[in-house]
Amino acid sequence: MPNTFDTNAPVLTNAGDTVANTYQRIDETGNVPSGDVILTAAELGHLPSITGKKALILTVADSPETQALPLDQLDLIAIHFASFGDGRGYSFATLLRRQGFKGELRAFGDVFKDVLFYLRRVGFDSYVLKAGKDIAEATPGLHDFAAGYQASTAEPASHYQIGQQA
Amino acid sequence: MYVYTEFDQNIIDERVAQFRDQTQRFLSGTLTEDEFRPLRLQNGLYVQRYAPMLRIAVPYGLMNSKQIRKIASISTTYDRGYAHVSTRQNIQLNWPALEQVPNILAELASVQMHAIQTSGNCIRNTTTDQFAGRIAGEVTDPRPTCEIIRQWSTFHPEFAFLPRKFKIAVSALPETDRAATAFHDIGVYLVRKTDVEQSISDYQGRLAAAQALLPQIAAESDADAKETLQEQYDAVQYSFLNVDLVKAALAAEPSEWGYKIMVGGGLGRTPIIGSVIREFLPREDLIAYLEACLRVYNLHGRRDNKYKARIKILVKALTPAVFAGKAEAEFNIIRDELKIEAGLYDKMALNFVPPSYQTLSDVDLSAEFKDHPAFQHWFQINTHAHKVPGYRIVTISLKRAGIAPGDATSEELDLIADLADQYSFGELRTTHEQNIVLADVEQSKLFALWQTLTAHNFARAHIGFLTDIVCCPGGDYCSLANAKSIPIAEAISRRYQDLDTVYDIGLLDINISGCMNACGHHHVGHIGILGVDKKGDEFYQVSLGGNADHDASLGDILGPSFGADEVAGVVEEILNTYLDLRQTVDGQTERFLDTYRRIGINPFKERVYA
Repeated sequence: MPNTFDTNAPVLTNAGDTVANTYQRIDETGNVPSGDVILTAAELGHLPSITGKKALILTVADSPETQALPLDQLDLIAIHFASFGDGRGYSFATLLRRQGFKGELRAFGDVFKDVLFYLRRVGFDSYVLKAGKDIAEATPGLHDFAAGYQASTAEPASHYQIGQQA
Repeated sequence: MYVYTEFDQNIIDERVAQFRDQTQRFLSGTLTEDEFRPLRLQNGLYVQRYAPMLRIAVPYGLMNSKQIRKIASISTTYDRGYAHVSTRQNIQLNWPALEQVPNILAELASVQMHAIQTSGNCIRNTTTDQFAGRIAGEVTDPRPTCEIIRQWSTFHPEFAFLPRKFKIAVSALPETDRAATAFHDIGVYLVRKTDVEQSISDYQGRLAAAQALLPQIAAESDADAKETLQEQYDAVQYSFLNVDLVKAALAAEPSEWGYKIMVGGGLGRTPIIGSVIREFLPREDLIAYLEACLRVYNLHGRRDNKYKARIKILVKALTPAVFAGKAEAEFNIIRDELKIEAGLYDKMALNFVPPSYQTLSDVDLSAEFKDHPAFQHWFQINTHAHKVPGYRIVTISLKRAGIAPGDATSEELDLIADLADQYSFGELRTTHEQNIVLADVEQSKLFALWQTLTAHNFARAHIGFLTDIVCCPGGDYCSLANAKSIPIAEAISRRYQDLDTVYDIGLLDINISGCMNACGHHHVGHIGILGVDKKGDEFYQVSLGGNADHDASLGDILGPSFGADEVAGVVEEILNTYLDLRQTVDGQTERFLDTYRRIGINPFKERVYA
């Protein structure tokens, strides 16, 4: 699934709301539009020219483990899932939160109902579902489970059980 | 055994609802085949040669009689009246209908069972010794550790889509390893601090002795000889990792034991014995360390080639030392936040307190032995010493001539449930050799139990011997298989119906896999048999000298492969070679494995290909 960021696609939030995307792509000639803009890692040089909110597209080629990203200047990082079976984006999210990223984490690409619970738990805030998926059908997927055992970004406390003690 | 809290029960109930929804969306077309496949696999559901196959989780092999009765009733209602014990201590149904799987899961959930993460590229069912908690010599009962790992790995949000499947085994017995721990993605060994201290002291002794090599290395002018000496020295130097780190870890552990961690073992296409990356880990750090290893693997494991995606390939490519460095670095960052809370181990251990044993003495069964030599054989071979006087561990053999290894009918499962209630406090265990264990049988009741087992074809006295064959479902059921495996097991068993011959050959593991995914663990069979496809025909490659115990080794390939009708004859020729060449020293007859290790593969090769 190509990492084209569909600026028209609706965005699902952890609250279960559907909101419009406000981020625009720079055009083919490299002009930065006014307002909120989302860049690829290769386009980060344009960051100072953005007048609105600033966002970055992260693919598996841009691991936050191996490169320093201007986290304190970014309002949003959109992590791309080329295939939902490639779970590197989950660890990217964990690393970005640990590195202090406080902005919005958005998942896009091969994203649908059945991965939302996991994505939410590792620290994602919002989701662009893949084309053809119904947002209303997918939304309950955010809460397929009421809780998980292990600690994660969204739930730093673990819930290990000790069984029904005899 | 571990009994669910409301929290645990909610999770599996929610899983049933989730999978019901996924199945419905798949059937209605809003979930595509490509989307549904990984999701159903994470619930143990394969689409196989003739029908789906559902793999039901048996956490570290532990079940109660209520659960096995439920399996029996599900097999009757939704399947063809039998179930199969797998080589990962799980239970498989071979013929469920896809539409019925959500209902099967709902039934399983009613007895605290599920199919979570029994397949797919996620952390699988943790396994351990089937005799855990019942044998003398364990560092301590490994099952509380297994249960903590089960909870941590269940629906771990970051590790649901790993490069490949991920298997963890736990070993608590220094003498014997019944869980093939060294062949797991991560092997967790419970170790006594005193033993680790001894290892450090031994290491320092070896290192001091090896200092003598240093001037020789410096003085040696021949490059090859210099390299050989250097290798000798390095082998000693790297035979224990990071003494200072280990000493600090020992000091940080208030109890008498902790863990040793091995990583990167595995069978499959590229069999590798794991490498130790941590000689000692305090108990409270287990989760943080596992999480660190998994994060390194999730970020760096290969995703371009599924045959090179297991962690063993990453560890080999990086070298174990570099992998360990990355894991340690990550561990140091997350260590504090993921510490296992004080007291969790003690509370977890309460789930595994011994049953209310009576105060008994060991029973003299010599009169029964005299009257019933078959009972004596069964006692010696199919039962195992228990750490509590007056009790014995009994293995029920699921290797019967004419029946696929590990299979049992619904009626037989119900009978086993009754026997568990009557003789073993209502609990039983599945084994990775595909048998079932009653772990707490009073010795005075062994004769009665043996009679019942004999009447139902469960008492063939051959556990650990050649006809106790480990065997995957193979081409009869599995769509991955290159070749059938069950008929090969059957042909070998048929040749060795005479138990005296079987006993004369002695302890022998024959492991059969229908393809190189190695579910039958052929690499670690003393004799391993692998189904291969040659231009559409089924052939079998034979290997010798594999071993899954602590002194683990991988089998060596004997030579060109054989047709299906030749395999049993080849096995017989191999065993005849062994019988001719084995030695008896001090009244001890050499085991097959020891003869093989002494004489190597050539004598076998010469006879088989003569």
